[in-house]
Amino acid sequence: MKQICTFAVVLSALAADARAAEPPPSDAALVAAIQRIKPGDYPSANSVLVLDEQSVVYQADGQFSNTSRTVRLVLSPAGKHAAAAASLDYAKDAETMEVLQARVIRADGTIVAVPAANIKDTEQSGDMNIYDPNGRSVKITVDGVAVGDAVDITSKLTRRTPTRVGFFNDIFNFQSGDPIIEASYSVDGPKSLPLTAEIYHPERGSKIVATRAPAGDRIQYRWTTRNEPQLVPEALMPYMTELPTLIVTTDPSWEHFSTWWSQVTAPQMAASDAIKQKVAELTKDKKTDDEKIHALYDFVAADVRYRGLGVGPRTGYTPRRADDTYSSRWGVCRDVAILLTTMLRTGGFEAYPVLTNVGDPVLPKVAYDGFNHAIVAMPRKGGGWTYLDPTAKNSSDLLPGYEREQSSLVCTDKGEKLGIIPPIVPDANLGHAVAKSVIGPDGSLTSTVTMSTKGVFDLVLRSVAAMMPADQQRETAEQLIHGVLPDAELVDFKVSSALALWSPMKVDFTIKLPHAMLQAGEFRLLRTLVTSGALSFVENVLPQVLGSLPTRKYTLDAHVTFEYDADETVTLPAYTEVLALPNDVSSANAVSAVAAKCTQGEDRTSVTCHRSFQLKSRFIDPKQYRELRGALMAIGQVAHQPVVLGKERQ
Amino acid sequence: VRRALVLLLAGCSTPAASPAPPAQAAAPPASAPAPASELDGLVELAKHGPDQKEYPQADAVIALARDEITLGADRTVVEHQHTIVRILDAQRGKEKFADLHIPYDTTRETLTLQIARTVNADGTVHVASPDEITDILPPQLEGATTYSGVRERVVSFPGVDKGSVIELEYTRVTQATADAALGGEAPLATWDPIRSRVVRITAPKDAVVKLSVQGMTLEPVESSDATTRSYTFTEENLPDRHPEHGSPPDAAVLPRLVYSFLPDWKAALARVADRYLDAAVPAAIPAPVQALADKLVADAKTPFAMAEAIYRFVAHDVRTIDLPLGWAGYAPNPPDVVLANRYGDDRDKVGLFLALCAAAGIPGQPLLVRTEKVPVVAAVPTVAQFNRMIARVTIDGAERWVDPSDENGQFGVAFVGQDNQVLALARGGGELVHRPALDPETSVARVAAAFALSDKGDLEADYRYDLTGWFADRASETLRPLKGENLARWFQEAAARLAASAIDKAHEVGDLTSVYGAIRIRHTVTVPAYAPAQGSFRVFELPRSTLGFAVEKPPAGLTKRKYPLATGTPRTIIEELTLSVPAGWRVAYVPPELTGAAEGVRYRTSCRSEDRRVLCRGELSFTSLQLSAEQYPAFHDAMAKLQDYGQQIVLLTR
Repeated sequence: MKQICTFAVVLSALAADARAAEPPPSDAALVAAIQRIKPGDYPSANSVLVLDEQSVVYQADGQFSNTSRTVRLVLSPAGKHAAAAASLDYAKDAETMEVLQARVIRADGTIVAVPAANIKDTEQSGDMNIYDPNGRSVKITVDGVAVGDAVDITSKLTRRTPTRVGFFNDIFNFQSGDPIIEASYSVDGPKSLPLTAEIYHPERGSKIVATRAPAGDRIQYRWTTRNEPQLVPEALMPYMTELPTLIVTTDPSWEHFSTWWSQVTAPQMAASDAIKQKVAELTKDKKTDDEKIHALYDFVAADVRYRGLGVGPRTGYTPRRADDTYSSRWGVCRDVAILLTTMLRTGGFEAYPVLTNVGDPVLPKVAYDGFNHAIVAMPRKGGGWTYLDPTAKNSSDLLPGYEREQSSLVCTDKGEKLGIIPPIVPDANLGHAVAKSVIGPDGSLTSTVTMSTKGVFDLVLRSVAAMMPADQQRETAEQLIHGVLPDAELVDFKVSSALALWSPMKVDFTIKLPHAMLQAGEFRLLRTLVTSGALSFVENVLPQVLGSLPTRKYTLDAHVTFEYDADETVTLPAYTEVLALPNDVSSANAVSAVAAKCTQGEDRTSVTCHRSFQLKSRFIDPKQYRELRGALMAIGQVAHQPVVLGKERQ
Repeated sequence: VRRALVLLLAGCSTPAASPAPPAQAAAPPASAPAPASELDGLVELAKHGPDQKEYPQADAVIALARDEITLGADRTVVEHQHTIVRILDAQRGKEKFADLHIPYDTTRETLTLQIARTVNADGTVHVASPDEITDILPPQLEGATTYSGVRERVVSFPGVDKGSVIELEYTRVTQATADAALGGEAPLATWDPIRSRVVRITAPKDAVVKLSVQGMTLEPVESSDATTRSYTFTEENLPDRHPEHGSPPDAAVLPRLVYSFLPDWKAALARVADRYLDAAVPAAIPAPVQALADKLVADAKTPFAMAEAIYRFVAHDVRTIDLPLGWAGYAPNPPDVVLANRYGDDRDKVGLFLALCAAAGIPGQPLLVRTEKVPVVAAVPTVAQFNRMIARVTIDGAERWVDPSDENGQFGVAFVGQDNQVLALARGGGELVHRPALDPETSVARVAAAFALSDKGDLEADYRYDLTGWFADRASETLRPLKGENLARWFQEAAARLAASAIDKAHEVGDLTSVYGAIRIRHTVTVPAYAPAQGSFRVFELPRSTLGFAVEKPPAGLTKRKYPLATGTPRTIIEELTLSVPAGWRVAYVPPELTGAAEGVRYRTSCRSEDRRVLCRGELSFTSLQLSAEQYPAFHDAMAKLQDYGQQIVLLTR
């Protein structure tokens, strides 16, 4: 269960005599501040942000400028890399970016300007197959940076085309991977369009001082903090919901935001004849609504590749026309979501585009532009929504498990509240390995294994299988098996078709181990597939991924709930004396459940082993983390325990 | 994958850069309608072309891959490429071919697209629109925009689906600047099947053309007209193939053509050697460089200590710009400029290192090398065969190879360019020489671990690591950026390699800025309930090293291979383990002695028990950089023996 602690900042209650935007510190004051910093006070840091300030001016039409200044003091050789180059991205059709000042303050106090030749306006690099012809980046290369120097950069971003005409919002983090000596965020806005603000987790850093000062027809707002401690991140922590963060917005509500995006997307959803024809073709032989929906989803998910033009004039919110995405067969999430919505509507279904996030959830208290993903929702009979993500290739669920427990804003004309996509039970994301093993008279082991999957396990296996031809699939399996059983022979290997999206993925394989029993003095140690760890996804992987820290300060985001089971029946040669089995484990708590047990058959010619692990919650708070770690430790203790056998007897 | 494909679709590697005509802006392809017969051919290919029945595992089939590389009378080089691909696998085919990147240097090259379109079986033709053709900054240049004008033109094909045919035709013209390599490489195969592969090299009749086919036997057909002579290499029906995990780069595995328009190495060197040395190591060493050299070597008592101090400064205090050799040309920035900037690419850092050495009276030389054991072909003289630059200094008559661009490097242990031809630059020329592989003793990880097991099965583990060469490099790379709590967090996560319950009790890290001798690390870990008893038995799994990089081995998971295995730099791992057994328990089994050798590896491990102690010692050396497919099975068997369960456990009984 996600637990976000928020503290509202009621601006109207703040002192009206608050100071306006502070004048920048003089160079002499800045140099003195830098020289007061003792590296020994920051034993974990490679650099210190002496100053991290943003000064925003927005207008009633939503246009704004953001002047940002950072002064970064280099404490170690590793800190030079972060300080010596800066990259300031902008979209040339909607924004301008100016470098107002770039300079180095040397350890001795001398100040050297970065030459103009070292400030280049270039193309962007095109991450995630998104190539934006309007995407530009100002690159600053700082010469001669040494330990003890501070790099002082001031830049100004001007947004000419606001994301939402008539509205403004922004995010400011008070904590970073560097300690911050002084951070401030100030805003100058029209009285006619006042700001609402929320600070999340103010208790996690230094005291944040907020002020508000009317000045004519404007209001000046300011938040400052000093000596903000360095963030030492924990693996899998959701940064957005765990750090002290300020959200400012003029958006009246999430419902208003929902209506706005519904209106932005509506003109893009005109169905062309080609789309209509395709919908008819895809659904004509389908008897039920479910079959039709799956057919349309499957087409968009499989046939439209992820490729983007960039953020666009509305910084990521204006989709391409459905027909353009359809004919070009490429698009980013918003384009693909709009195409599927259009096709569903064309097919007679009620469907809406949805704003959501991949990764950290959206901060919920006030409405702002905090989304990074778009999907589709269809109303369920009786309330609630069915969500579909057509960018999720190879997902046999309409919505992959890792997008659950996530904020969602369904966008309708009447406007919707920000919701949470409901969690899913662990066994909806199931991996289950079943092995039948036989120990031959020569001590060899032959094992036939079936690995069946649901949900996220299906998605992972399907994606791997889809991206590899058959030979490589087999080679990958061989390498995985040899990691645990180096002398195993992969006798047979078969994977179901990754393209048959609605049939669960399954792997069948047979391996032979020439020497499954180790003669250890007077005893023999038998390693089966379960007891060797060959099928031990939980024991081998999870301790390091989810449980490597003794305690946590921040919530752990496991991204999915899941269940993984392994079962094996081992047939032993006659007259085999079993002296010891792996120990039993059984425990359950609010977030996890674990079980491990081996038993000898009544006829004494077989041993059966079962192991199971459930992760019941995607978000695990620090208290629950102790319980999760306890479960991982318990199963880790028996992970590789063999079956101990007596001497071979005739 | 997409960038790898560029090798074929963007053709030859022609690094280098220098002042030249301004870049041509990205432009949509000329969309002149193709002759009906040509288009009909593509529609026919989309309708009835080779399919997955013929190539069941292929991502796509390349119907045509034609490169025409022409040296002009004015020494410009024109590369004309024409590629036609039919997508066979909806996901993998699109992933590889639907968005293609073509690199070009805006300062000295022009790139013109003639055709970029998709043809589908229903006869529809989708020409890439201006939105679908974009220039981007290559990721390597993110921190180096002051250095190079290289860009990638991304062509995104519209309407691509399984069965689609995509056609790309473009021309790249490289001006005849001093940095032009006048040579390059063209792949003669890809992982996907090719129906028709043609590479045609054309030059004026009076020009020299040097050609060498690597990885297969293929002779060109020669032809000529009044002014030019051409060499045409033609292949048909090349098979589908698939890369293997752990292989060297494609250029070392797949057939390729290496070509040059220069007569010999002397001519190749004449274009770069003096220009490089005049700029990097001028006759009069600039005063700031001389002053720094004096300061760096002031306390050094031997030439070795002097060179070590200089190397340490250049490696650590001058930020490395990771740029392929040639992307910014071959002439370096002057050493005083590099010193002032405190950043540089290979050329610049080697230049500054050599200038500082010269100022200290230590002779040295720059060398062009090819990484990852891609063979340099001696018969084809072009600097395009090299992608990195290192240096060699002579100290007390002994040669020391150094890589100043390796910010975590060790003095005298340069990992790139081993067991290969390297091009040594000298005033007035230079020479191609063979650089031997490093001795496995130059990179040693010595791991001494003391384990104490309590009666409850709790483990106290005390690891002491001494790391040299490659292992020291890895330790420095991993740990140097981490301090205080971040370092503690890293060691806790390293402890968790042993078990979920492991706790980092203490860690000490030696001088990570050392560039010679061993880096020492100590890691003490406690693991509650590490080895619980099973009745009257306790199977103690010998704990693995908490520092994964200290015992990193080449991948040997495949039983056999079709292609070579890159095993990394030669190195040695020595492990000495002691286990104290709790009272009341006796040792029933320890791993037996194991001694052996195969091509690329030799090993010797043994354990013995004394009273309630178990002592184990293992020494494992990887002795070569690469193993052929034929050599690999013996290597796999050796590694399987070493990793056998019997080598990993100690059995205790009550």
